[in-house]
Amino acid sequence: MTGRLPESPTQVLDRTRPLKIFFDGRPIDAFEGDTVASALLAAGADTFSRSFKYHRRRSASCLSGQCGRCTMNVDGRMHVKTCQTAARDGMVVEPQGNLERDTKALADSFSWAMPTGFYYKMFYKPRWFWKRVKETIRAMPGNMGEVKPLAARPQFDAVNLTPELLVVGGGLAGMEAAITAAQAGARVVLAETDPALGGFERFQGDAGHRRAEDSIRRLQQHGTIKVLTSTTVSAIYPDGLAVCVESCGGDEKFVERSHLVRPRAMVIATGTGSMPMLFAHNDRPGVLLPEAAQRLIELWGIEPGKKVLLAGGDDYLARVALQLLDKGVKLAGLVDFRAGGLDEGLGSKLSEQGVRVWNGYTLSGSRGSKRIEGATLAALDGSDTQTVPCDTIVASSGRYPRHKLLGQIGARMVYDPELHFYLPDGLPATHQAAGRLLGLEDPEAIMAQGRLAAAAALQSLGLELAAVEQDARQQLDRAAALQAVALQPMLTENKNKKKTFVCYCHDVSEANIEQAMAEGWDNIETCKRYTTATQGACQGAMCEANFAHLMARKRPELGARVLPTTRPPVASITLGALAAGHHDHPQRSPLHQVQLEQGGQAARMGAWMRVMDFGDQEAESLAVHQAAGICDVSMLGKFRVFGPDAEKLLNRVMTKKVDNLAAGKILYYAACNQGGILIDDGVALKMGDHDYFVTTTTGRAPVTEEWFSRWRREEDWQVWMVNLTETRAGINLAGPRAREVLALLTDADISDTALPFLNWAWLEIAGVSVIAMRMGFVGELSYELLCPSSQAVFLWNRMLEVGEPLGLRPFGLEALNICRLEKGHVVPNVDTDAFTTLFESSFGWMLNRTKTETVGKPILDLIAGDEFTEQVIAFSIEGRSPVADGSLVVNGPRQLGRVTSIRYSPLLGKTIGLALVAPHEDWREGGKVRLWFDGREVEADFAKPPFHDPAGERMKM
Amino acid sequence: MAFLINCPNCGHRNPYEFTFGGECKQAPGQDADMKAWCEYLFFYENMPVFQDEWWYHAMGCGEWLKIRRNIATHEIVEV
Repeated sequence: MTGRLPESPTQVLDRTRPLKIFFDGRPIDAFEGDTVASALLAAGADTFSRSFKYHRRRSASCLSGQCGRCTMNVDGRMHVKTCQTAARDGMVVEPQGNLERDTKALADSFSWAMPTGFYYKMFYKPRWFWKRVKETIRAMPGNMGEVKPLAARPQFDAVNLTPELLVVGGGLAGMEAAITAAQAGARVVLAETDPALGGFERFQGDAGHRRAEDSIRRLQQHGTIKVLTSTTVSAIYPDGLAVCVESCGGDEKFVERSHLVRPRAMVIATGTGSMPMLFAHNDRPGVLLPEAAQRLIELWGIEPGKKVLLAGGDDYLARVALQLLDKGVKLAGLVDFRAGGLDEGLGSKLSEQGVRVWNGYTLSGSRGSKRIEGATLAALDGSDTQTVPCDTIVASSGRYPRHKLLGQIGARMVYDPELHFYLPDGLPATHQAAGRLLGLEDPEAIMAQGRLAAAAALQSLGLELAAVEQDARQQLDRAAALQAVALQPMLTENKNKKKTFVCYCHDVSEANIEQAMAEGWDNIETCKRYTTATQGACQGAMCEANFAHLMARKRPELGARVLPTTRPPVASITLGALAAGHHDHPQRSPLHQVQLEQGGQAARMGAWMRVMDFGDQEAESLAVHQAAGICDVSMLGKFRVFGPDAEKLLNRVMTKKVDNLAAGKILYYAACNQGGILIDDGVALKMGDHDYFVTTTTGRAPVTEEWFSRWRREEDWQVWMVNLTETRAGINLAGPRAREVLALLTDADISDTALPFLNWAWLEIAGVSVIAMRMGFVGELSYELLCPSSQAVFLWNRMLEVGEPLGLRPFGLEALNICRLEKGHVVPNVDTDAFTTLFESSFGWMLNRTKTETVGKPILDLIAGDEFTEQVIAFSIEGRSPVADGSLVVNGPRQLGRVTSIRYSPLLGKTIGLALVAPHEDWREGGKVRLWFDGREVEADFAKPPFHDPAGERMKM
Repeated sequence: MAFLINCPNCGHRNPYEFTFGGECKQAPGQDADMKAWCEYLFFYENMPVFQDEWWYHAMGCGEWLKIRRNIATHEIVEV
């Protein structure tokens, strides 16, 4: 299979633009318009992948994204369908596993050891056996690839569309439906899996190509039709949301784009697919579906083989044979399993060209190692067998509707024994099916059906299209006589059922299914689960119909043929496409940039990008103790809560009572949920009558907003809240010389008598109006200055300027953490978790015992005095310790809890930390806390915080 | 998610914009015992029929909505 056929109008190649791709390190020539798979086939590649269970050689067999056998690693992305991926210059394509020398292919000889359900049967007992072999077995499956880090993170996009009509499938019927709807004034989205419109007609010779081109031209006259090519509709959900995943072209920034389409009506025209034929070794490279052979010669000018044998049971196959002859492909013959044989006109045309036709024969097996070398034929009446040399087998036992989306809409596929075809039943009026999907063959009929479907769907929305519908119906009636439905499925007995594959994805053979049925799994739903047939990467696209036919033939008494339930997604879908549209935007404080310029190192902390340190967290923490420092605390949640019922709301959500809060005083509060679990702490300031300023911990602003407004809504209170988090920046000025720094920037009286600890005031600092709060989070004299965001950078720089001579330096989150650990301050949700009650988290003292309306109070009353199930403890280790946050706290083999925060304090010369642990007798003066880190035990001393300034005098200076 | 919520402030929106607030339930009284509180806090009816639920439009207007939704079919009848 090297070289190309002469150019023809159906081909999609641009021969003036050659390109090179690299397959397994080797350069391969291709043209613009090639897919990766077509380039490889043109270069003579046979094996594309190794099969899942037996590591058999497999090759691309459908070339339309159905079979999943051509998946490879393309430019670092795994499991890419190469037949659906346009070749680009310099593309690096690697097979997933060793194609030529696959040692695991030995599994093929041991298929007897892997009966159906062997993993249920063999590894149940003894238990030690499974433990011993599980890693080996998990490494066994073929074509699984290896996760490798990508050079660049692939980007995915998401788009929301809300047209009146979504048409799935860009063949004749789909295009006709789109045109009809556009003419009626509807906005249409047309999704087509292939990179070009035209569907089946694209590769039906020159006549088909002309028909497709004509429809495309008419389609392009309508600006209200949005055409999405290379787009697979992978799911339709109950409310009509259709997830359409577009594979983007090479020039695009995005790898894939999810179109989330919510149409009001839908036309499904997904067409048909050929069913693979069942014969021994029907999976060898060189076995193709008829459409794949047509695509090869018509689209990419590639000979499917040097000697091609065709096998099947409909006249379509004879037309494919004539098409191949027309292109100069040599045929080994045509096998037709119908008793009546081939249509006489077609039969004589074939024999004129010297093609041998076997009527009433079928394929029973194939020969070959790397590729097909011959086929065995058998007469259906068993009277004769023959062997035919050939290098390619184009085989199909019939056609089968691509029905999966219909199932998701709620339709049932009913088998019509006359047509040997499944037809949809129970489609809602707004969702119509059209085209080959309904078993139509004649192009005129298909187009009329497309118009009819669009008219019917839009009429259900109230659009007036009766004339169009009637017209289409008449045309369809006329054309119906031309319908040549010969879709007889064929199954034959053969001797080697073990290698007669029904499900290619999971290597499920006819013998496997017979065994499963013999074991009692004779319902299609249970048999499917037991054998895993139809559950592979192709999601049943290749095997479902054969599977259903096989079961129906073996157990005819079970009644009508049914197909297994279909669920989204229809085809495999990347996680990136699912996650597309959820863009991650960490928040940045107004002081973020200026801190970076001053040497700040930023990292992601929850919703925020925070400056962790300025190069030396320990020196920064010492500066806070010895001179002064400033830290960006803009991330604190900040709210104005006001209205006549403001007190009611605050009393409800806070553990303390706000009624008696005096102007100028700071109320430090905790907040619980209804289960008495500590969820937050913060402060409240009284700004005026029924008007409060409330802060929350970092990152909790959105949750607090939600929580507060829930109570407001439940009680219908007259209270409003405004989120001021982003309008006010926060600078924490802390250290024994903080007042000196502040005095240089303000004329206001900031002495301890004018502004004592836990008091606040409006101050003018360097001309900026700020809320100045005297707080003690870091354990030193400290002011939290909340200023307008727009003036934050100015204020920050002014403070640095005047403070530097006094020893002031900026400090980051790490130094802040060291200082608060020295004081033993517990941070809710860091040192506690979703099970820690107010009492257990050491915040119990903050509960107002007489106030009954507090959220969680009833539960707290009930559990007051109960033994703790967990508690927060402090510990210290002399000198530096490598133990990190999250290490375990252990006692012998038992885990008692975990370290929630641990840092080295240069002030104390100790490593100190907090842990959330179960109660234990060692949690007392002199007790030991055993930490588990890096595979060994580290001993720490139980401690009673605060470690620094126990009397709390320094923050009250 | 396969349904839309018709927010009175913002119109039809994707439920991903919302935070689910659980079933609408009546909290036990102040003197209720632990069992009543556990029932209230940790147990849900979760029947495949219509139920009243809280939804918070976090990425929208910031309003709490009471929604009557069929949790088997996602059909929403009242907002």
